[in-house]
Amino acid sequence: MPEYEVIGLFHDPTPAADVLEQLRGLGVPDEKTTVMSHIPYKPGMLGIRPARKRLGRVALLGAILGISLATFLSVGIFLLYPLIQGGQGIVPVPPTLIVYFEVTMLGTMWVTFFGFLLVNRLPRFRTHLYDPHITEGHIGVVAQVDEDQVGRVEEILKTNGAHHTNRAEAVPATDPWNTRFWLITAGLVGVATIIVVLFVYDIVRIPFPTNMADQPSIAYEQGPRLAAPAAAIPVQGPVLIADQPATEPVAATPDSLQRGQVLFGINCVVCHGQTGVGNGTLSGFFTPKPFDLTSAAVQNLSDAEIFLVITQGRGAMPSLAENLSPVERWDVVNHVRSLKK
Amino acid sequence: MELPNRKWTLVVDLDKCTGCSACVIACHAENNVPIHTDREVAQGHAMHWMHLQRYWDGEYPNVYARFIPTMCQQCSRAPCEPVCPVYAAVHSERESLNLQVYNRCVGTRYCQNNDPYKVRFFNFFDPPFEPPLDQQLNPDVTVRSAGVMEKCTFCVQRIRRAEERALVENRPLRDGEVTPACVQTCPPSALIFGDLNDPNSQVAGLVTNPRRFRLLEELGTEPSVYYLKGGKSYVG
Amino acid sequence: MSDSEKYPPVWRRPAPEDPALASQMEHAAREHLTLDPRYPQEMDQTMLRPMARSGRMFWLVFVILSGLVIMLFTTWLYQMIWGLGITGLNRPVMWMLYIANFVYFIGIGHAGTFISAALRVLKFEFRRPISRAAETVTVFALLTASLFPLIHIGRAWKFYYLIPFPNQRQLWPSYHSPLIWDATAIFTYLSCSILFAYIGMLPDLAMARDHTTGWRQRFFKAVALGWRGTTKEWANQETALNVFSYAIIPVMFSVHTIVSWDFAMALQPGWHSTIFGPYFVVGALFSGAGAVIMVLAVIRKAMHLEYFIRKEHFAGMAMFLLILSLTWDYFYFNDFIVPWYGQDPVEKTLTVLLTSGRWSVLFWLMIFSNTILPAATLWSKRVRTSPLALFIIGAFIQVGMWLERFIIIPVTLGQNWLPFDWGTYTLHLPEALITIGAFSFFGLMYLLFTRFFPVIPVWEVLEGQLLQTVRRIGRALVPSRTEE
Repeated sequence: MPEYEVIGLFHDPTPAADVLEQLRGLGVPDEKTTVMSHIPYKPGMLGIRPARKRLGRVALLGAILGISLATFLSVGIFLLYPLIQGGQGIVPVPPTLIVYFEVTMLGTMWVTFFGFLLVNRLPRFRTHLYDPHITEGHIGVVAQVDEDQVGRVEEILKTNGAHHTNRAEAVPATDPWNTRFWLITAGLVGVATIIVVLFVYDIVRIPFPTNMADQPSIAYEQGPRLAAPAAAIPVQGPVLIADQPATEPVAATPDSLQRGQVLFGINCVVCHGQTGVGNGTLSGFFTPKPFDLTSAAVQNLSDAEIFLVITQGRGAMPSLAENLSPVERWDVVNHVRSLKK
Repeated sequence: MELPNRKWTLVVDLDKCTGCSACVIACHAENNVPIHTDREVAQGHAMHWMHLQRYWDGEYPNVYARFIPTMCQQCSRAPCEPVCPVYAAVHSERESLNLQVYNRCVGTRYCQNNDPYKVRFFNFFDPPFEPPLDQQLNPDVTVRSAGVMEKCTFCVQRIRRAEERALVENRPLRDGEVTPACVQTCPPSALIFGDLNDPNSQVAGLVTNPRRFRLLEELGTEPSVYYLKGGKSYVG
Repeated sequence: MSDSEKYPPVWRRPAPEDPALASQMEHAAREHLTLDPRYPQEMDQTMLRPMARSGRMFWLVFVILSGLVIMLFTTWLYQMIWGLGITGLNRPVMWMLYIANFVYFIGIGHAGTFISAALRVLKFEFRRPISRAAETVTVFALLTASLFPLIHIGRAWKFYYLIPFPNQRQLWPSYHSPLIWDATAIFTYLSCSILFAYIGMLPDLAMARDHTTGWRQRFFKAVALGWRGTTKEWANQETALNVFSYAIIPVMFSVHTIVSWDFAMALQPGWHSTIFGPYFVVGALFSGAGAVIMVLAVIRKAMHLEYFIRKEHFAGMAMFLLILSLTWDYFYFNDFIVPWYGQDPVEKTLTVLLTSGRWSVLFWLMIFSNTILPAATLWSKRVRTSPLALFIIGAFIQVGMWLERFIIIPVTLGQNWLPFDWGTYTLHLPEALITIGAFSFFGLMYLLFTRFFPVIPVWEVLEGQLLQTVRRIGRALVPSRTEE
């Protein structure tokens, strides 16, 4: 049998309470009657038993969630990042207490809010019998009864002085907890989280160069470098280069020449060629071409100047300071000397 | 392989310091510290990681300057560290150095407010390095962009290089092998740098000197820079 | 006869026959909102009518404020592109107007929660019509304040470094720093204030839903969430509001304490004082109360809400203001006398600088606005019940409290431990424009709120009218209140 909702409006809590008592006498249980008003009348004023308060326990759950989050944010992050700062310990107590307090309160209040919505079954999509006059200060009493009792209920309402009675077929309660709404909301939040995670974990990169990766300074392996000015004084003997101790030349022993040849093969052949004439595999890519090391222009330089070129680079040639230690560079200098035609 | 614990210490002998400011220039050159126009300096945007605090004293005609070279004191209990919200100012326990992570700095400038020595500098603008000045920049040191705090690091890039070289050559680090730019440049050798954990180092001998004091010692920041009182010009 | 005439509020007592008692009753009804029940439909319309129509004044103010807000964002963009050097920042004055504004706006955000939560817990009736206007001041003041951490940091595009979330680089912010405690506390306070205001607003949104048409009704139908006003909904709302009230009061105290710790944790002379915690909280409540009074005076006039906001509410707030002024005096004196007595050289320089140095004009203006003016005027009942006088006093208090923050930040930062590092701060155009823009931002948001949401909690007024009545004791009619 279909159920009907019947509403009657009163302007005083006394007739409303009388109606509720008479409905109870008729056999309509309290769960099927609803009292609506724009002023918070206490249950005692309407003669009904106060409902059990569940929100207190929800607040406690919120506090526990808050404490867990606080534990991660304070103790967790401190242990993830065991960095000493200012002589404080790894897990300093006062900041931890501050975080615990704030985040516990945050958890309590947020969970209470969502609990409030859930317990009240808000947002309410199912259309119930309602009258806009309720927000003008009237009290609405609604009873949900079988079809055959509707007449009796309306009689009770009219006897007690209700105005604006109405009836409508009750819509069956298919989704009392609004699961569809919460699932859709959770789904949207989930999608937003996934989009954020895509960016945060660099799965989607935004090419926004702000990490000081592009440096205006010239790195060791970069060129071109400015050539030394025309009047620069060539250096003989111990080569003085800033940041390095003065290095003595190494005598051109067979050992040194053999080491030099090996190192030349690794570091220099690719541009200057096997015989040093400047026909290495990469030489085609340079303008001007790598120097002919057998030429008079190079061989007339002092040993120290060749050492300087290897150390600092010259023109398009990069510095080999990172690749070769000073002793090794002198070995290469000796080898270059041996390339003279 | 593990690197040994160091306690890098700088000793400034105020008796020898002439106030020539060569250390200031050396620091600029080594650490890519920008130079600012006179208008910006007047506004207070000057950046000198190493600078000479100078106070005028006396009455004409006996006016003289008291000066003290000041740089980041590399405090063991640095007040600038815990206030950084992003862990950009952290402490290296192994080397007893105060590290600044440029990439992490968001520029809240709280560290400078908490620094009693005010030795931290903020890049108010993007530092101008017009060519060919950019050829002079040290590739070992990041050139900072606008919005980033910076300070003296005891030339940590030089410390790293020396330690790596010693590690590769399988030998201990020698005293005097590591010299920050200011120490290297100082003409009267008023700046001495070394590892206090090494009992034979020059600094270990100097910190027991009865002339020694530290700046604002009463604040409990435990600085790693020791000053040796001396001469009429000392400020302490 | 209209419905509202046929059905008056049942708790409206009939006028007594005795003319003396009748005149007493009339007087009580004039003075006290809760003793002057009108037809609820009439009260609903008093609230809804100004929301439906927007006059020329509204549009003029809207255009001006919007223009200033656009100026705020363009100046900020310009600053982000060129760098913070265009402002008056220097070494050592590394914080200036932006942080002063930040602390100021967080400060005025405290009175809202005090009125809606603490006065609710303490069962003060005069909070009934003003609680939502005050809460809204809180919410928008906190939103305006949250702009400033982004404006003042050097690399604003890296702001996400300050937010704790798991990321590929495994980077987390540092909870050693008072700035992160700040972020946590303000986030808690802001979000929970919004939720608190929303829970309390649902019945009024339902009322608006029932009495509007067109797009407005669709909007209210969505935000009212289907509130019907059943006994269960009311009971749960009361529990929820209780939980929120009891929880948000300690959070309110903690928020400005933590903001004060941004300063107290520093070794800077003039900042490193243990009194900063309670001192800032009292200052916040003080400036907030002044701001709320100003806002109430404006909306009462502009929206013709004289029925709801009466002299008794202004008198209550003004008494509150006087008490807070005296408390602020107590804390400021404490903060002043201790360094003065100790004769520490740096602190002594600060004291001299403030009282007779370059900034002494601002210092004495602050003392006048916060101490002398309230003490000299708020004793008088006439002043306490005059909205215009209170608006002016409130404005002076805003100036005084803003100057207090200004003196604490750029002025004090100029004097530190080593005299070579002393500096001064001069005002530059960008921060002045951004400050003006921020106040306009607050004003614009509040203006728009009053258009779309009912700013008076009508249901709370109705509840108050239900629970308060007059009782005859001897020859007098005495207002009586139910505690339940």
